This record gives sequence, C-alpha cells and structure tokens, in this order.
Amino acid sequence: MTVETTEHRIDFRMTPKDLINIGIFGALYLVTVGIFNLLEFINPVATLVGVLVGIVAAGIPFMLFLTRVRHAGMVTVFAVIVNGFMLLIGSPPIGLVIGVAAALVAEVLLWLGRYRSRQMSVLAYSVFSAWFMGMFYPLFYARAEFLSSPYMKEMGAEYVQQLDTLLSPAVLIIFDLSTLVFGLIGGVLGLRLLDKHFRKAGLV
Amino acid sequence: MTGTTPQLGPATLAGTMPATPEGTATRWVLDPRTAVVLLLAASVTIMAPDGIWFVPAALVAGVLLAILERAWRRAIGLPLAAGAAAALTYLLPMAVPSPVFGLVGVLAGFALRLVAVGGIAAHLVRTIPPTRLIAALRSARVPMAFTVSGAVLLRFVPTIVAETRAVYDAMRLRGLGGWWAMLRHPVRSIEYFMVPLMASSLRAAGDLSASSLLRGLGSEARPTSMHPPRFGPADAVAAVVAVILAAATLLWRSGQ
Repeated sequence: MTVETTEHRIDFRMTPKDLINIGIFGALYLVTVGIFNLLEFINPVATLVGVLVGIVAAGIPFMLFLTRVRHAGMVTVFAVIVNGFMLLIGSPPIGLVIGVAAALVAEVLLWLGRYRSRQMSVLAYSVFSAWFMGMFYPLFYARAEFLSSPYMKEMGAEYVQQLDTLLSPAVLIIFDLSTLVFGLIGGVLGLRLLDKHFRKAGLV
Repeated sequence: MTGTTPQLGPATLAGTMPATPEGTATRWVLDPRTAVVLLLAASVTIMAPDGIWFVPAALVAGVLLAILERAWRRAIGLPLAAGAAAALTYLLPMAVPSPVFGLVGVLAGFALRLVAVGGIAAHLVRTIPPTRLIAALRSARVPMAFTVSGAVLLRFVPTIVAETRAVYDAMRLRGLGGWWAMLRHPVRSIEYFMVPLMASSLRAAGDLSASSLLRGLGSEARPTSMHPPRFGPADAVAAVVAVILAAATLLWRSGQ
C-alpha cells in the first residue's frame, strides 16, 4: 500500500499530466487496434479475427494506462476521445454511446478495487472492450432490412430462412460476448507483460 | 493518418499538416465545426435503421466535398467503390442464390454505408489539421479535459505510426515478421511487436509531454488561436446543400 492509495474519495480533477497520459495511451491504443484491423484487407472473415486479436493486443497499452490512473474520470475521458476519433473516421455513432457506458462501468470496477487491484483492472479492460460491439451493431439493422427487401421476396422463403439462421442474432450475441472474453485474455496478457518487461524498465 | 516523421522540439503540438496559407484557398474550406456536424448528421442517419436511403445523399455530399478539395481521385473513386458495394449487396444474391452469398451481401451492405460515411470523413481528415480541429472544438465549448487529451492524441498518432514502421522493419530484419508467424504464434507475435513499440513510443512521449507542459498545455487560462475559427460562405453553402440533399432523400423515400 503506497501513499496514493490512501485517497479513496472520488475526484474528477485532472492534472495536465493526467490529460497528457490519456492522450498518449489513447493514441497507442488506437494505433494497436488499427494495425490488427488491417487484417480485414485480406478477407471479410479476417475482419472478425482482426478485431478479436486487436482486443487482446490493445490490452497491453490499456493495462499500462491503468497503472497511471489514480482517480475517477480518466477512463471515461479516454473512452470519449478514443470513440470520438473513431466517429471522426466514420464508425457508427452508437459506438460512442456504448463506449462511454462501458467506460462508466469500468470506472466503478476500478473504484471498487481502489485503483490498484489487479483482478479489477483485468475486469475493467474486459468491460471497456465492449465498445467494439458498437462497430457491428448496424449489421443487426442491415440484416433485418436486407431480409425484408423486395429482392429477398423473389428469392423464396427457404432461402431467406437459411440466411436468417446463418446470420442469426445468436451469432452476433456470441460475437458480443466474445469481445468480453478476449478482453479478459488481453487484460491478463497485459498484466503478464507489465511484470515481464515494463516494470523492469521502470515504465510502470 | 499516414507517415509523417516525428518531430520533437518547438513544433510539438502544432499539426503535422502544413497550415493552409491565409487568403488563397482558406475561404472555401469548411469550418471544422461545420464538417464535424455534417459528418455526424450523415453518420447518425446512415447507421440508423433504414439509413440505407440516405446513402446516395451522403455520396453526393462526399463527391462535392472531394471536388471542392480538388481531390479528383476520391471524387471518382468514391462512386466506384459505392457502386461495387451496391452491386455485391443487391445483384450478387440475385445472381447466385446461396445463403453464403447472402452473407456476403449483408456485409457488402454494411460496407456500402461505411463508404458513404467515409467519403465525408476522408474530407475532414484530409483538410482539417489537428490544431484547427482542436481550436474549433475549444470555441464550441467542449470541456478542456477532452480538448487537451484529444490534442495530445492527434499529435501522437503519426509518431506512433512511424514507430510502428520501425518496429515492423526491425522484426522483418530478424525474420520475425509476416502473417504466417503471426498466425502460428499469435500471443508471442503480439508480445514481440507491442513491447518495443510501447517502449519506444513512451520514450518519445516523455520528451513531448515535458515540452508541451513547458509551453503551457493544460494551463487554467484559455488558449487563444492564431486563426480563430470563423464561419464563412462555404459553411452557408454546405448547410444549404445538406438541407437540399436531406429533403430530396425524404421526398424520394415517400414517393417509393
């Protein structure tokens, strides 16, 4: 227990150093996610793989970021600027809503762990990763629209039925849950690498 | 955000794009606030249920913006990309009746929406340097917590992209790169890639944050801007065009 952990009150005031840390780690997080999403240029199936690998890899900068979070609000600001950037490059707006909601839950988890609990920080990353669901939500509407389009009526009920099962909401819900699971994996990997490399190098 | 060499020193938080010279083309560049509102309007309507109706309007807006910016390749490429996605969405499932191609159709429909929003987003990314965007957000009364951290983020992304290239080259040199190695040992590849990337980025980050703190980043006083954001005739024209496009879409939709 260090001196910092004695401050348990909820404090939203940010020092300039906090804001700079949020910006730096936000950039690292975005570039990590972006690089692994480049896999999508190989083929559409690789998109999903790329997102999931990206969630795991981005756990490393996020866990390092959490070692510098000492009060409430930082994860929320992080979520707003990361999702705001995604919005500016054209991703669905619902991502911002889900991202901020997930960040608020992550804040509560971190606060419960007094900002120093390792288990809670892994859980917080898992919850934070939920914003990835937002990127795929329009597939839900696109699907319903596509299945009810006039073109589909010509294809016959059986065809629509088959397509419906292939793209069922269950598949999308499984994807949503898998973002949480891969978030856990990313959090654990991040913690392991913190211990293995960054603590030694004095970056934690 | 493509490759720009990281510059440490006085230009730390200045944008990575050269500022447009005053007086020449600046009058016909959209104010960042207009561009952001335009992008949000397109994004919210297109990504909403039944948003596919707004895709043509957004495409027209994207092409007009590309012409305004004299980005001819985008002005031609945007309709072509949208046409390809639309063909995959509507024609392919009709030509080949199989659920697998139906899946491709749904994904292409999603891609079509992304292309439509992406045309406007590309204009914003290409024409508005981070400093102008941040100045505009500040004058739109966005809280300091978001503008300061956002400014740092926008400043760092190109630096980190440059570091990424360096790390990737170093991995290739040691025979560690490539997608095959990535697929065989995913966790190890992530470690080999991320650890040097973060170590070198954080070293650059230390210098940059010390420099920007010295120059008053995040101080209580509200920073002023050398070119304060102003709405101009371009913004009025953009607003009128956007209203016309939205009205045309609604008329077209009620006519169907």
